[in-house]
Amino acid sequence: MKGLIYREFYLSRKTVVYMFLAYIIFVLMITMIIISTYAGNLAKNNDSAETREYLLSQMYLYAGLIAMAGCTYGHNDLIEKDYKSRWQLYSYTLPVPEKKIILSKLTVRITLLLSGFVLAVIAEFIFSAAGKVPASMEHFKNIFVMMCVYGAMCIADIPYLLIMKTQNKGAAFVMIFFVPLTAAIIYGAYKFEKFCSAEAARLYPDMESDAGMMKVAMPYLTKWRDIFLWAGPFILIGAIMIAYFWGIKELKRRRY
Amino acid sequence: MNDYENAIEIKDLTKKYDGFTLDKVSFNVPKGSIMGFIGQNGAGKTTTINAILNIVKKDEGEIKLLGLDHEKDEYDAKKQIAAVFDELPFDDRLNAITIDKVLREVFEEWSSETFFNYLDRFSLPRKKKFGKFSKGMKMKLQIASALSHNAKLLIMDEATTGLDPVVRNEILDIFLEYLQNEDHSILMSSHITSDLDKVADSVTFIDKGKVLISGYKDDILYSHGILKCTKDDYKDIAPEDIVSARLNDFGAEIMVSDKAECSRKYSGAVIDPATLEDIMLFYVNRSKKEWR
Repeated sequence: MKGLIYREFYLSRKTVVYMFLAYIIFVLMITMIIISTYAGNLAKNNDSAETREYLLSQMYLYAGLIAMAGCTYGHNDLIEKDYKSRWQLYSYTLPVPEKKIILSKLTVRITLLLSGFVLAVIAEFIFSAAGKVPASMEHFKNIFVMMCVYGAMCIADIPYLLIMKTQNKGAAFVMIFFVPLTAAIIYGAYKFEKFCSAEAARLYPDMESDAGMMKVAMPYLTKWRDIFLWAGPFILIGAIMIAYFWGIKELKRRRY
Repeated sequence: MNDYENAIEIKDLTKKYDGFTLDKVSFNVPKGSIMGFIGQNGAGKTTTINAILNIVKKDEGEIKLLGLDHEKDEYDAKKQIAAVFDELPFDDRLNAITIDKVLREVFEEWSSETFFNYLDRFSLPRKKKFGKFSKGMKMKLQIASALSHNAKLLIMDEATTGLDPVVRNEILDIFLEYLQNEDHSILMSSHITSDLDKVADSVTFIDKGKVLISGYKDDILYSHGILKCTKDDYKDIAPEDIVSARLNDFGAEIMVSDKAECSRKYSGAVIDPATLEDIMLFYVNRSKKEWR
């Protein structure tokens, strides 16, 4: 199995390196902007503290997304390339059972995902240090939730692509479910915003509308986040288990 | 170590697809020999090879590889088997050094030294990406990797197709060298029958999913012949002696499957030796009996 893992890492490495560079550039840029809000040109602006607050509250999420998606992206299209290069067929001639083939793919994907998570955590430390504030536990929780949710999708992608063979076909098929789901989420968000807006007008008439809305929304968002904080690991482990058994089943089915 | 007489034993192998059936295919590849597996495109060669390698699940029949059941003892058998396909199954972004690192972890008996010796012998670069290899280089690389884990059985599906005669010859020499070890055997599917004329010990001919002939090449070539005669003489040939006949303006060429009997029966008739290509052509057209 070591050989298969090595191969998967080797073939993913270039994209990982490119995305790592993108991550470094992004983190460096944001760090400099944060520093600039108290020690550079941005410090001259009246709203520099607000800008810094905004950057510290948002940018760790983007850095985390770049890190996690970037680390795993290179590995995502490997299955399609394996079909094209006929490695998928050749692997059946090797003295390696299906479970080891799937395990090697899962090992690589999980390792890359965890590397992305570590980079996301590092970004949070860097941003907080740049902003001269302590690293936020809330932010770490959010990064963890992000890893669990994104990771589950990313890992379920392994058996899914084994079935679909190509990313285009996979993407087209997932759209059938994704479009109504996205529409439902957007509709839900719209309704939630309306609710928060009405509640903010009722409860905090003196506050600015955005600030009032955030005050209303925050307990709900935190509650949902906390639910995911507990459910996330189970979702992720469940996705790994499903990917493992579904992947083996699919590889066996491919011996048509 | 298990003892076995035949490197491959196939008995009544059946696989049904929509529009195609591999129908009770049976043949043996004796240990220490090279068997040519011939047939036209779509005859069932690749399906048979895929079934041997358990890439496709058979519907019925028995397959033994090196004395081991190809399903129950699949991984034990595959440790000692190498498969070579018509196309390189390695990613274009890999190079020889990487593939050595991958396969030495996959095969217990992988020898990096043997692999790199083959690369040097074939003048293949170690660091060049496979995407930049020519077809001949890719095939040589595939053969180098197939021969580097002490495989006792080499299974090749159209491995020499599309290669120029020089490369093909070079590769055939390697196979003959590989067969110097009496434990080694080769099953080689091809429709380039001239290659098999050169190297094969035995031949199995498959058509429309059925094995038509299987046996030692010399016996097959010895028993078959092309009887040449005029159109008038053709009428006197007994139908049971004719595999099929190619008619032309001057007469007929008739494939006979018992040359000795026919030369006795039709004394005076000219019976030329047949090549594997002739046998394949005449057998493929056997349902028509007469063709041009």
